[in-house]
Amino acid sequence: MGFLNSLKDQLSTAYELLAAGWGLQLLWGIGWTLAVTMVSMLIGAALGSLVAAAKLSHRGGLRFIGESYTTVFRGEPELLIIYLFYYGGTQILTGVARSTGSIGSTDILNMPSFLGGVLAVGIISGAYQAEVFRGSFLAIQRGELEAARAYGMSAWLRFRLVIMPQVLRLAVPGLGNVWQLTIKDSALISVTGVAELMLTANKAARSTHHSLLFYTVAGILYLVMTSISTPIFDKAERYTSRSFLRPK
Amino acid sequence: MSASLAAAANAASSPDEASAISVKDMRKCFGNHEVLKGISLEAHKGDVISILGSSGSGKSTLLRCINLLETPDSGEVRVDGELIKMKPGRDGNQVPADIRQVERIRANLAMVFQSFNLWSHMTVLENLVAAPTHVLKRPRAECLEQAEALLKRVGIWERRNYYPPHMSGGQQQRAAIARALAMNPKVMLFDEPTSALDPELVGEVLRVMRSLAEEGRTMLVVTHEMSFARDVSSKVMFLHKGEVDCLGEPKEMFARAPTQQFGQFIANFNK
Ligand SMILES: Nc1ncnc2c1ncn2[C@@H]1O[C@H](COP(=O)(O)OP(=O)(O)OP(=O)(O)O)[C@@H](O)[C@H]1O
Ligand SMILES: [Mg+2]
Repeated sequence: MGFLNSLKDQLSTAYELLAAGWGLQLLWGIGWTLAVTMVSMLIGAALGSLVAAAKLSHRGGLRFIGESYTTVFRGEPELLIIYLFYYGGTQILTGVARSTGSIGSTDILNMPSFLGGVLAVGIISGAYQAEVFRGSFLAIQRGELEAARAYGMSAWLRFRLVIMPQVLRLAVPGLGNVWQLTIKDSALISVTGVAELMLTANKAARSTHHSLLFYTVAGILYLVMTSISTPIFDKAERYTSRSFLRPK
Repeated sequence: MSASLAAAANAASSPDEASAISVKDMRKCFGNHEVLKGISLEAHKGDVISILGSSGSGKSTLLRCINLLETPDSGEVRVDGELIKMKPGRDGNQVPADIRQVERIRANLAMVFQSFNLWSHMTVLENLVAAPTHVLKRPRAECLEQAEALLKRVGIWERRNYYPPHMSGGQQQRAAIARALAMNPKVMLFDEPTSALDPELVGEVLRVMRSLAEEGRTMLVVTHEMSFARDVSSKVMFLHKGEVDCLGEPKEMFARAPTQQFGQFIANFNK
């Protein structure tokens, strides 16, 4: 009986706190988390396809660059890379601005936190996407690429008409995994001050001393975001691989 | 003396009007395995040349060197009189000098593969219009119209909106032949078009190929179908260990094998 009463108290406190404005802030946090993740995924897609192309190149130098990229950015702690971009970026920006005299010699020019964050997370995401794209390319039937050459397609046409559509189809499940990783990595950029879900939960927990409540709520929200993406990517996969499923 | 020299020079610079494909002294090694040991081949317009030979004799390599899917180490290829320009590459072997020229010539040499190689993410109709619209830059409406007509001709018009993986091997190969025809090619290259098919599906593909031969198309056909070689082709070329062992009229060659090798080869088939 006492337990039930205390649970009821807890819930009503939670309700009050969320209704008092923290709920809205958490919603904004979700918005920023999704924005960071999406922009990072796009940056990662651009970098990842270049890196995959480099890794598949027959030029040794390019292959080395591609290999190094994926080794470094998958092998380093994500937090280190974020610090490197955010604080390192701030140091470089400040140095440049001071030397050109656009700021005073003791002023600091901060790396914009959203930009620094999405660059860092995008670069990490790119390392994982590169692996996905490379695997997808290797899964294309060699004969289909050969047919594209035999029918006079230029390298660009082969890419646009045969390689890209098939890589996208084969990459969807892998990209779903990278999306989940990238959502989780986005929480780390709270250290740069972007008001995404993690930072908001932190702020709420500290200022109300209801850590248990806010971290649990944030945890549930992350879980919703990562698990909602599964059926979405499944659906996308069914669409992009429709030529391989039996017609109904 | 000088007149005959001039005539020879003239013949070299303006090749035979009727020549569709001319290959001179083509050589190709993979590592230190010499697969083509100086092959020459002359196909006139309307010729249907069956290329026979046991496994590993270099038949596929010959076809693939003609459209530069493989780069021959030496030798020259002319398509419709036009020499494919080569230049010395870094490792001493020649490489194509002008990739645009190679692409343009490939578009005139439609290839049909043993394993069909239709683009699996496109419907049959899309497979037929992709290269004509993008490579030949012909209007899409015209290409679609031609594609539908070709699909009717090879008997799979009902399947035009199917994706290749949903069709039988015979249907896929007929679609692949239609894709080749959609290029209005000068020469068609077939690399064992029926070898990957179940026996009961071979006939439908051979029927289409026979009708192409009858309408006067120029075809180089690598095949193990002796009946096609004997009854449909205008010339038979027998490769043995990377060399042309013998070449001639099919009726004569099958009636009396000109070489012992070829005799053995057909004897093995008749067993
Ligand atoms: N890309 C390659 N790299 C190395 N060796 C190759 C390559 N392609 C072909 N070969 C070799 O060259 C030889 C001739 O091959 P090719 O495919 O031309 O034979 P084929 O006459 O078409 O035989 P089949 O009837 O089995 O198709 C074979 O010994 C083969 O192993
Ligand atoms: Mg072969």
